[in-house]
Amino acid sequence: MVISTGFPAAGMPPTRLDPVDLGGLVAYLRNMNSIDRGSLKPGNADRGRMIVEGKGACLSCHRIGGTGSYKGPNLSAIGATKSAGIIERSLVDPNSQLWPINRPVRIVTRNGTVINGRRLNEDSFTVQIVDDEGRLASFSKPTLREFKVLDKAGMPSYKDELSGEELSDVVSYLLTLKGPQ
Amino acid sequence: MTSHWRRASIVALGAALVLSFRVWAQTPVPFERLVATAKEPHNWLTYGGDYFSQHYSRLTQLTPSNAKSLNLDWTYQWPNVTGGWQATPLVVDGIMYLTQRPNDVVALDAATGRVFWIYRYDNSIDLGVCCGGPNRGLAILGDLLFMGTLDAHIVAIDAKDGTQVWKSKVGDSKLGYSVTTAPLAIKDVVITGAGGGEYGIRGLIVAFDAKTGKERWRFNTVPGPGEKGHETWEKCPPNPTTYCDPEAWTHGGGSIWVTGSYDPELNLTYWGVGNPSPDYSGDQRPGDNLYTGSVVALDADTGQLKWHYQFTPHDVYDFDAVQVPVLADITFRGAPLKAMFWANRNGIYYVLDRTNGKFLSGTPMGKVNWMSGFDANGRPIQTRQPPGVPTYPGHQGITNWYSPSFSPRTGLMYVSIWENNAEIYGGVPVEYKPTGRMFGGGTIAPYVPSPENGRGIPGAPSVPSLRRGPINTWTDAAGSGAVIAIDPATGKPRWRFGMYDVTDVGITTTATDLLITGGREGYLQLLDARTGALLWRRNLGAQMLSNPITYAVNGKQYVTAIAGLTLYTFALPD
Repeated sequence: MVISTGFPAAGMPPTRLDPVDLGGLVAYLRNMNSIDRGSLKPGNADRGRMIVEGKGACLSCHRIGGTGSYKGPNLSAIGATKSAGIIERSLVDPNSQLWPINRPVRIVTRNGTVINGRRLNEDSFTVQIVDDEGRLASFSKPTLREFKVLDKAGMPSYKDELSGEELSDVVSYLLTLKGPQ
Repeated sequence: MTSHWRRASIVALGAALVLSFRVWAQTPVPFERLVATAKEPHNWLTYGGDYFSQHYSRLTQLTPSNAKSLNLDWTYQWPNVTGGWQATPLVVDGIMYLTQRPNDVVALDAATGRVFWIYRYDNSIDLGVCCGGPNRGLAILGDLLFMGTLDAHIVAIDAKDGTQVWKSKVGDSKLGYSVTTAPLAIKDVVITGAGGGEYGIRGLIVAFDAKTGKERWRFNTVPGPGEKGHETWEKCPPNPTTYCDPEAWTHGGGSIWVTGSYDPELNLTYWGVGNPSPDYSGDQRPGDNLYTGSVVALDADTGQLKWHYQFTPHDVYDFDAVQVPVLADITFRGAPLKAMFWANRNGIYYVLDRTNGKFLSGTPMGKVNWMSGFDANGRPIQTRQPPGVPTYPGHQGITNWYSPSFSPRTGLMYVSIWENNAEIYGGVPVEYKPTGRMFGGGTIAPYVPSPENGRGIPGAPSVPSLRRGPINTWTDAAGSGAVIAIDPATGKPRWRFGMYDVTDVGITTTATDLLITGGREGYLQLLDARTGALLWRRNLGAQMLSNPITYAVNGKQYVTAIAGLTLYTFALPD
């Protein structure tokens, strides 16, 4: 429907397609998420949840369904937005999948206060972050003593921390997270 | 100050003091006034500010020393605007004329923002318009305003009451033709062209009698059999190894979607021509594909082609050459030159001799890897990147349709640019169908490099092509923006003002060496045109996507810019 009618509020124009092309496009969009399946076999999502909340200590940085930290991106809907392959690679080689907006930042204010956090937004003159304590903060960049975007993720690789089976379980669990239904 | 303007000021002052109302002296705008815009700097009479499209104002009230006192004076909102509001207003003797999406025209008191009238145009339901369907503005001649429409017509509107006087067809909207450019009025004709390069149109530039709407002449931007340049739409080989379209020229693109310029002395009008169709699948349309990716110089009376220069032969990157041709008379390599400056979407800044189209220089404005230089004839030496390798610039180019500026005072050319933005192009053969649907012929994949190894980060958001909301999730890793000042003769940069996000905002400079611009982030910014130093800025709260202008009413200078759904007008305190 959205393809045919457009979405004027977002500037998306209507696109006229014949039924065959429209069906093909919808099928493609619906299956985009399953194209990159990664190298792992399907695991056990229940066991994966236990690893995420326990051994993996994922919630010390991430947040799922109202629980956890704000240091890293919220994972509550990761299964709706990321493929199995991307999630797998994020676990074993986090830097390779790290979006620039999610790179940790280090801020030193004029009075020497050090703040570590994650960017929510940035422009030429200001930056908005959520700090590691979960507080929202906005800064005028020219007033800062230091503003540094770190190249590496704060997240460790789980390549040697989890077995292949455990990684499969974690990926399977994360794929079940679709956000509020 | 011209006599009619002096009279207007006296009348206005008296009215304001005694009667508390204003009446501007609204005389018609004949061709002679359009030629002599320098004599009435309080007005903004053409899309580019003057026929040379220098986007330069001779107003002097606002200066670098008082710019910090600029205050919001009035605003105008149009809630029905959806998509990007790309219009540049005209200002004529105290009246502002503005287009608003999809194809309305509004006449405003330029001193207060209050509305005199609104003209509403009902587009056909068979629209086939690409890329957000904007409208970029108006032309005025005599008492008539002229506007192109999304359903590929041009209308003439009475400037006093907003009633339609005539309407003429430019192209068939069912086949993807549209008109989004502001027309250009010259002598007694009004000139426009058709957009639709992504939908397989065959482009044209067309002149209409300004009084009657009758077509005077047309120039096919994709020449047909018997027309010069048709040979550059080469015949398909006998046994092509990939799909080749023997009728490629009939739907070869060459759209017109940004207003051209005019040299009254040479009587030549210059227009930039868009990409060939399909955009990315070049093998199916062998040859240079003239006059796509070119500037054409046409006799303003007949439409006859005098010369052309092709910036991007056989374009496979969507590098429309629809940028504004900036004309200036300068000293070049020790000799006087009637120059044309062209900051092109393909990333190169060009200097041409506008009397004959001779290529004089080409200088990259940023990272470019689709070409490596020029041969002796000024033809680019193309360096197509292997499959999967990013090409610089991406399809939005290093610059695009938004107006650059040339200041005769500083002698510098100013350009809004995108930096470090690349994409991975992939052409896919596509068969044309006359349905007015997308005819792109391939894909463009975003490329956001990892700081560790330069490899693309899977799924990382890239710079949105047209619209952005209030949150930037792609960051400067995907590309950033800047205003650069260029020595127009050498192409060498003099200064750079960087922005975190990219910019689609044009530039206006003034006789007090102010530079007015903005960016996608929504900041309206005043810079020192000599140094690039930031003098003043305001957060307008939404994406800016048009050309700011400056004008004056009753001796008071205003700065106007559009952001989101609102037109903002600033002035110094009374």
